[in-house]
Amino acid sequence: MPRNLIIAYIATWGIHIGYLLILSGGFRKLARELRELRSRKEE
Amino acid sequence: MKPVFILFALVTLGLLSFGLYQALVAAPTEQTMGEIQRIFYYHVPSAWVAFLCFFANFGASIWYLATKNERSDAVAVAAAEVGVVFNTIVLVTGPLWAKPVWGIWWTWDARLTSTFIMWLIYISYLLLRRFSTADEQTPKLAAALAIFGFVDVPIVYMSIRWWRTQHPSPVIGGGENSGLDPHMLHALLWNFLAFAAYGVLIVWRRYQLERGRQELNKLYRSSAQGAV
Repeated sequence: MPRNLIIAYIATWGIHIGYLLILSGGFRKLARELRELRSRKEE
Repeated sequence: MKPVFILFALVTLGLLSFGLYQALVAAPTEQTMGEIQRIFYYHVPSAWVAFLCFFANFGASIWYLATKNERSDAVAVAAAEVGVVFNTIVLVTGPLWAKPVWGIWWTWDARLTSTFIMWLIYISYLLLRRFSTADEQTPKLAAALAIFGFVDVPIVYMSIRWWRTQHPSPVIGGGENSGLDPHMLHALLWNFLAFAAYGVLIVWRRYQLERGRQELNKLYRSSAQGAV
């Protein structure tokens, strides 16, 4: 199989997986900020 | 996560696996270019899904300006971001295909240049959303940019019909001399279906994140007002 074909397929999934990681990081940040806001309100 | 989301994710995973099999195993080897032509099965569906995402961004932006509905703003930002992801894939896989076939990584022809400009437009849209300090005005400014920016999308689509340069003519819907081997078309359409399903899945997830952020901003505002 040509090298560029393998790189193209791996790059495609690398970009998708990278974006999924960014997305999950966004959810984690959102949950953390919500927790912080709630604890500040309780104080 | 809702069970329907998990079920849809599993179906999408199955479609992507089948699409990969179609692209690398089932589709016949192209006679002139050889195995490298199999990049086509990821390159073209990614471009189509990017077009669909930018179209969704355009529609949602118009709807937002008409109704000021926060949900449509969330759809707009989710579709733009996922569209940029797919557009990036197009800009990465294209040169990887071009180098062994054309002998060059890149040329400033109509299709390549307009695709690169499209990517820049939507990157600027996302940067506006990320760094604007206009706060409540940001969705309106972003929606206006999205509507004007969308002008480039039909230009990208039509560029290989209007101008004959380096990029090949369309193989589907390109007139009498266009066409594709039925087995190749089969593999292409399966991959398009798989990537379209995957696109819907991540737009859906990104939409949920944006709705969460909107709710968080409301809470911040109400707590700031309460403190005053």
